[in-house]
Amino acid sequence: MKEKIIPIGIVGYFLLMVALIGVLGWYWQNFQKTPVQPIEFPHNVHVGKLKLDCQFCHKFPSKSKFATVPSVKLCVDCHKTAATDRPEVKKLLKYWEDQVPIEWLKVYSFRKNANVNFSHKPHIRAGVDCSTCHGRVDQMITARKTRNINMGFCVSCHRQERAPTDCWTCHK
Amino acid sequence: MIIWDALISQPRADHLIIAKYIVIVLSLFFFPYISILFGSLLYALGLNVKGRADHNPLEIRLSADIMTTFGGGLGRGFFLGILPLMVIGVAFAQILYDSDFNVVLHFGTILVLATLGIIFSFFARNYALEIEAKEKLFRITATLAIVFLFLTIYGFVATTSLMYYPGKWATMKTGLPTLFSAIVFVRLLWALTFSLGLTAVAMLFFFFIWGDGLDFGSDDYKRFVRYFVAGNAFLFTLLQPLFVVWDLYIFPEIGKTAAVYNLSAGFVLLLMLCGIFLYQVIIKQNERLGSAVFPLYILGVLLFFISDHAGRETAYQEHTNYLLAQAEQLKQQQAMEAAPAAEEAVSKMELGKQIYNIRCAACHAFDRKVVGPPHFDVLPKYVDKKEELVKFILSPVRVNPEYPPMPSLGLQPHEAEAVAEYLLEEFQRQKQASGQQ
Repeated sequence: MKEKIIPIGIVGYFLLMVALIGVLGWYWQNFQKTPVQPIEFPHNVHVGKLKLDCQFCHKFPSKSKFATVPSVKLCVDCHKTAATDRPEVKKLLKYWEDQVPIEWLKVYSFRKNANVNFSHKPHIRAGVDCSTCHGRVDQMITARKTRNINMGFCVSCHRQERAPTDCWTCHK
Repeated sequence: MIIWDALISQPRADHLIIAKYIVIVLSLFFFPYISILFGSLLYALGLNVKGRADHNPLEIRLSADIMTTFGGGLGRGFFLGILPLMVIGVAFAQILYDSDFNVVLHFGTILVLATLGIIFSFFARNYALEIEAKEKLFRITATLAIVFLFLTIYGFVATTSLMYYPGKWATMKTGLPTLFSAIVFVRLLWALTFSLGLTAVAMLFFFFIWGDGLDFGSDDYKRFVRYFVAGNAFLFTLLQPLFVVWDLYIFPEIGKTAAVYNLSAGFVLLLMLCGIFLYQVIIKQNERLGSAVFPLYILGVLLFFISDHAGRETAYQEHTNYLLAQAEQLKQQQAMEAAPAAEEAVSKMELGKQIYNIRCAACHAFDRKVVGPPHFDVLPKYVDKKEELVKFILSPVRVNPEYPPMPSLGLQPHEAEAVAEYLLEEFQRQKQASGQQ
């Protein structure tokens, strides 16, 4: 009996480890992975090469809580003539023709139960560069998470910049 | 530094691909070699000390046999340790070219530590051959070699882990804070268990399976060696998956990719096969059952390095994008330099035309509205006011609410001036042409 139990135990132990890797992978795939966007928008071309300011497309970070995604019209204003032969631009024009909104997926979000009341406005007005939280978007194709925006990240920056660190500042 | 700068040039796209494979393939020489060297010294020194304390001749004999078989030869140390490490350093210098990551400092430090470790292990091996007369010297040199090889492994693990955090490259130039981070701690624990496991597996292979194997002389000694190597190999094979899972748990988000999980799972499955074989060796007292374990370990470490590189590559993807853009720019520049001399002399007007066609023509035309207004509508106010037009091109402001705002194009002042000159010249030419019609 012992001859069988130990080999089964060894195999079970290793398979348990493989299963744990599977669970970690599944969690990452479903909760942490940067989503695949409906259009592969090349930030490196628009921000890196053409040097467009972030707020040319994301209009409202200095005025509201949200940076907001650009309207399809703003994209089409240029792309009804620019780079119309590119497959991703064709996708964009199809959305415009069909008058269907593009369902962009959020890259950064806070856990609901964290009760974070984040607003872009005070950060932009204080002169925080977008790359502080969002990384080198000018070198990315589609935007992806490069920082884990957790409480440690926020609080260390608030302390460094002498911004308020009272709980009430972020959690409301 | 001057030699280094001459050696490392701006990488092309194909250089980056070659550098990636160099890192994976040469790590497969460097890391297992250093691991076996470290592990063999640790086993040999431990057995020697314990053997003297217990008055156990079998332990003392095994210590000497380990040193004779695996102890450092200088030639072997250079070709399997130093040379691959130097080439890995050059490959990383290409991959991380023009970044804040201090490749010279990191790989230079590891190189010094590895060289000292290999030199001391060479002396330790020579003293082990005359162990009765030079036991004290053996212990001193073996201890020094162990310390330097431990620091080599620590440094290599910390350096490759720091690559996962591009945001910290500028502030962690010395790399010292990285040594005390959680990910380096976990990876170091894995590297040490891997080192001791791989050394034991290598002993099983080279003492029992490869060629004539070791001349054991007595069955007692053979049995002792079998239990020692198979037992240690089994124990450290069992421990490794714990650190692999722990590493994935704290793995930086920026480096996560499906390949990291899949290849890590593959690595653990290979360790499982090794564990089953090693258990059979212990139970059935038949070392031949373990003949596949050494190749499986090497295959496993290959999977680990591919997985590790896939994660690192994802982490510094933005830097790679930057290098690819720079490479493209360099290619265009070289093409221009290679062009005939007549084409080289691009006049200011031609420069303006070129920039206009690339950067402006997508949104503007002279005679019709595209995205922005027709030039015929807006240029008359800039006739004889070139400076104002240059100023507008450099920092555009919204003038007519009927049109979307013009973005800043990020042109250099001389480029904006060339565009303004071209626009005003072309405006006059087209106006005259339409007047003549």
